[in-house]
Amino acid sequence: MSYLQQFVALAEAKNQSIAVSLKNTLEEGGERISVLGENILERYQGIVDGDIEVLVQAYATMVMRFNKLQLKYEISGSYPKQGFDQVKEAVYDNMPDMTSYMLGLVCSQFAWSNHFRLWCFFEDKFLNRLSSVQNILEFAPGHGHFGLSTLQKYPNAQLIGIDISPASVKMSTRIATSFDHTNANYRQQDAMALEENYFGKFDAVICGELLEHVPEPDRILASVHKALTPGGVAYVTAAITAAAPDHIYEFTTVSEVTNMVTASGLEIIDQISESTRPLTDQAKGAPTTIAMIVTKG
Amino acid sequence: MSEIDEIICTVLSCEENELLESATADNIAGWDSLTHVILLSALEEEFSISFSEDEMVNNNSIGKIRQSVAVKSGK
Repeated sequence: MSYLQQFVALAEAKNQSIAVSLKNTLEEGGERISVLGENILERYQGIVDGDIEVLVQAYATMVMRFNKLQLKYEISGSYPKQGFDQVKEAVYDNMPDMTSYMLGLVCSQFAWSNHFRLWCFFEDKFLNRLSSVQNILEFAPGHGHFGLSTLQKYPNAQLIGIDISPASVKMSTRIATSFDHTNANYRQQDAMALEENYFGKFDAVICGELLEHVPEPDRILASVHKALTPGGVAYVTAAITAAAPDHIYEFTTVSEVTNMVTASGLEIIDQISESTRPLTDQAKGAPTTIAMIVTKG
Repeated sequence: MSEIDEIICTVLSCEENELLESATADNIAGWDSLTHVILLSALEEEFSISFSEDEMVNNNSIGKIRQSVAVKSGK
């Protein structure tokens, strides 16, 4: 039985409502999503000593947490009032919780149709553009899947990942080591205060699922701009009207994001927006993620 | 129909005769991971109870949901 088949069977045994949504996504995604799911599960089962059940539990817990927060958000009209330091203490510095969160989130790449379509955009529009990439900087790699997939395609490139969460740094490092990616180096650093020795050094930057996690996303975009070489290309995403335990900055429209990106001096050369259905009629908008390919304009 | 079942039928857009103890999202068309959370949240509010994330995962059938609400609410 493949890893993905095990994952589906265990999800069915745990909670049918999760399995129903998962199976719909897998059917919609066809062969490509099966390949992605198998790759992810093969990579991350190493983190949980081969116990796929742990991945399913992490995913199921995350689904409940996200949906419940989204429901509260749609009813209240605002994200939970919490500062970055509170989130850091409660989530990023909480090793068991953060590890489970990241394992659940990486499984959502093949379990949620919107995340799968964003993955396809990343692969088709970003990875395929990096034909001669040498130096990659990944902001907040979290589970590390995006950066490590880039290294898998371009094994001669060097990757530096900076993340404020020690759990993320540990997870990404462990996966990179287990797959012999000796050219991946993860450091516990703050992306909002980018070190000067990173300026103008990277021909590729990955900045996924970060802007909504900080109080001043324009400072992250400024860091992306500073890190890129002239002609360098970056993959940037932002969540819009989508609650999560660590979302602080509430974007409410796609244009709000694109205006902030262009105001930072970056030029958007491609973009995609993917939404899921809101849980209530009161929602400001559908939970959406915008992904963009940007260059130093 | 009990208050719990009324809420279940409303949220999952189903009929009372579909609410078998063993029924899961496999048997009720309107039950997916989103409506599951909407349902449990509606029950939390109506009965002034709360479910942990693990309990939300484990309440995976009509029978388990009824029992869980009864135990927590004392009704």
